[in-house]
Amino acid sequence: MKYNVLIVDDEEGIRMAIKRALNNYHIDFPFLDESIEIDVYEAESAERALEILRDTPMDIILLDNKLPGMQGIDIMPYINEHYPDIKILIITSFASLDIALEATKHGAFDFIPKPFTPGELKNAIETATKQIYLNNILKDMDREARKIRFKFLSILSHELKTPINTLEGYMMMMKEKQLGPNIDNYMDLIDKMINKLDDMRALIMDLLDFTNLNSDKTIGEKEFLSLKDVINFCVDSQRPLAIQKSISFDIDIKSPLTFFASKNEMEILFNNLINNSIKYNKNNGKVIIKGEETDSSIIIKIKDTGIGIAPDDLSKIFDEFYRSAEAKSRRLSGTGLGLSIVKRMIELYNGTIDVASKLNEFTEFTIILPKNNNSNQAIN
Amino acid sequence: MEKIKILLVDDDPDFADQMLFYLNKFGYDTMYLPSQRSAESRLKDIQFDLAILDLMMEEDDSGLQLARKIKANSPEIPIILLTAITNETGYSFSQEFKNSPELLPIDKYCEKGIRPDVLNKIIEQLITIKK
Repeated sequence: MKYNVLIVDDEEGIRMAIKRALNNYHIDFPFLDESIEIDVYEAESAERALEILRDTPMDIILLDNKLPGMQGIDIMPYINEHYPDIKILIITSFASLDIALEATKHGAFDFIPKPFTPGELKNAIETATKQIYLNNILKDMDREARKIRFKFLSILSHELKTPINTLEGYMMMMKEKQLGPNIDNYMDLIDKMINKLDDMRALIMDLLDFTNLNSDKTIGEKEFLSLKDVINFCVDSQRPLAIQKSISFDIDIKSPLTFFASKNEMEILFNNLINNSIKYNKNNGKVIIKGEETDSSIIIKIKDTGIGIAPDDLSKIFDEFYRSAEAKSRRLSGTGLGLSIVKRMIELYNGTIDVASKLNEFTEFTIILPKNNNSNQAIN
Repeated sequence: MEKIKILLVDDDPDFADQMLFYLNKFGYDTMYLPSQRSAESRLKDIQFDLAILDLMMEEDDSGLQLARKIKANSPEIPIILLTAITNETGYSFSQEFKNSPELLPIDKYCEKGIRPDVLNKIIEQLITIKK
């Protein structure tokens, strides 16, 4: 990475001295893998400096306060307006420290009192460089966040509009009595509409979970709880769904799996995963849940004997609103938010989730929750 | 007279339901496939007179990709591309299409909210031109 530094000083001696001091100078930060190199440009007047700025982007300007013609301070407002990212360091004699202080109020980043040692010069440049680097990162993050928000909203509007269009289509069919005057002919259609409404309700519930997650607020108080109990509770609450498909559970959890967490969040987490293992299972299938713990972590595996996930889809299933081709083609309803909620939830607890699958055979999620994270949070 | 056969490819099963209902009602034979992938794997062994494709399926331009493959095999088959893209993005595809029809391997572009009878007129037109 290279930053450009422009020296603006009418004394050739000073320019030479600065150039010499910065020759082969590079800056290392502990948070950066590569070092920052400095390229030095020079101008003998404010007018010349402005010319150079037109052609070459600068990161730092070392600006002498006393110049022939336009003064250093005179061009500062112009530079601040047209090149707001440039950091200006005023070089000034001790006699004019007041002016320098005034200048920092008007947009100079810092000042270097004359005479200065190469060390002082380097220090000042290093501070400015760090500032520039951090600013750039912040800008990138801001841009990235905006992009993600926009994408989220546009997908969301798509996800909500699609069922509305569907409902509208079915309602038009009814209004125009496309299936004749007898209401009994429309039952199939009405069932489909009710299903669509259920989907929309599920989407809104998931969205609520999701926005809660993104607000970094814990849903409910954290406490020491047994994940074994949580899992058993979730299995019981989903049993009616499992019975409809004649799916049996095979649960093997020997220890209580004590974990410091919000009960609500753990229930959302395991309800989502267990619900998936039933929904995407085959009739007469199995859901196999295993839990164990080591000194440092809790490991939970949830495996189904279901439709599986194609290799192409596997990397995308945790993305918001993503639904596998297999799930869509089998007309299984879903919001595409469940697994992204699960993933975020696990990340909140510094855990990991992995998935393995074979199409038409099985899908297995492996969750690892670190215990040490627990005690940290307990202290906080 | 043999019925005209229409291939419908769309990943939204409910929308497809409604489309198939109207197409059948208008007297066409229909065949439905839910994805670009499934359609491509069967292109070699299916016969149809006209195709109606959804623009966005697996990928944002799945419909176009599929249209290109269909036209490469059988350039004479008319293709209607359906999409909700204007509704969702505010981007008008039809304008683009008017400006450079040669770039798009489709015969007609329609918004997804199109009235069924209007769509039928378009199908009739395309089939007559073909004959």
